[in-house]
Amino acid sequence: MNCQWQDRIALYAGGDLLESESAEVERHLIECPDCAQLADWMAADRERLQSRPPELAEIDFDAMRRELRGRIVRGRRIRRWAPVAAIAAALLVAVSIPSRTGHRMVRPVDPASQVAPVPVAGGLAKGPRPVPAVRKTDGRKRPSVLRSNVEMRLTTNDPNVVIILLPVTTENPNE
Amino acid sequence: MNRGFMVLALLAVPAWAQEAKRAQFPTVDEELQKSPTYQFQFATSAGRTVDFVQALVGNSAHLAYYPAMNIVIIRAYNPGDADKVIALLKKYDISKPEVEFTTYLVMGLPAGHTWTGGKPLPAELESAVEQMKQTLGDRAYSLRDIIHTHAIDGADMDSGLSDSSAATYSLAFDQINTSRETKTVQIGEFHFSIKPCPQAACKPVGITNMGVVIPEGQKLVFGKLPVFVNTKEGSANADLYLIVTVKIQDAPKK
Repeated sequence: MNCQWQDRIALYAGGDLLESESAEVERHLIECPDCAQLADWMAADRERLQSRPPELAEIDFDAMRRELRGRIVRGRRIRRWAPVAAIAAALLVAVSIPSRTGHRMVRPVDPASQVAPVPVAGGLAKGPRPVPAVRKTDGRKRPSVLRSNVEMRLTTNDPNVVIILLPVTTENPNE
Repeated sequence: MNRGFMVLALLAVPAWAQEAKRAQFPTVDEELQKSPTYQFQFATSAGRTVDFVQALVGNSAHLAYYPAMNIVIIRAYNPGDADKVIALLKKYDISKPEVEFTTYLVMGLPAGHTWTGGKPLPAELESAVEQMKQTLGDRAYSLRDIIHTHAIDGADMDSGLSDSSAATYSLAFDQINTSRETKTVQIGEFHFSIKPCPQAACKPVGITNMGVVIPEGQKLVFGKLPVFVNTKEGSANADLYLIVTVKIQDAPKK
């Protein structure tokens, strides 16, 4: 196609011409079948561009909105119950720790099962008393072993006697 | 020729910079010669005293403490301030009190068992044991050992018990703060563990307390560690308790 009306037809298809100009183009379209076809194509393209793109037509925006809304609501529910769940978990841990670290859980050394049973002294020491190797420290914190903050302070009738029951930890001598 | 001279000159720059740096920062000896100093009488508390006096004088002087020489160098910004700082350092140059810790290891046995290895309980423990009988489940108590130690900031010891068992223990008092006025001792961390037998399979059991204040005269009972003992009646699961007492030593005279 080689027509000088092409540009004006494009403007006509876009609705950018004045009424008098549009009438002039319409008269030409009656006379020129090529330009009439071009005008039809342009009109069709314009309509297609104004409608929803085909790649987006497959997306169900309503379903997506429902899914997002569901996620937001679920997140809010979790956040609302998170402190309650945390407190419940903390209580569960606090209740379970004494039983796990209590001395009944530490299996006593059964002499029969030991290679060399070591009974506690039946009498007083006969040999010289061992001299403790005392290291004066500088007050810094020592390397920690397995610890728990759970302890029980028992009241007594004597203000000068304080009893504190501490959780027992089994230590690894290799550490 | 010029290029070679330039290279040599550039190589000399680091050496010149090093010299310039040395000239900028005087050595400790130079500081000692030109700045007033104070030598502490009691080194154990010198660091704390320097911090305390520095907080008192604020920005009017800068104190630099050298523990190896037990000397603090005073850089005062106004003439006369150094003398005031020295007066403060002298005033607070007092020793940190030494604390005598006595730890009694007391065995508690269930009803119907008698431990032949026990020693008689000392008279000073009567009140504590009476309260233990009322509060704790064990029926019979006997002394197993007594551990004495002295500490200023902290003490950490490992040894064997004095009885004929092969048991070893580890005892630690750390982060000790003492008040002579209130006659109390604060222990930042207390730890005791006992290993009943030397075999590798025999693991030590321990207890840890992360902060307690003990006044003089108080008997602090820590418990309780599970110990398996042979008794007259056979064998029993016993409990080991620690009764800790403190005594603050008198301050040494200046």
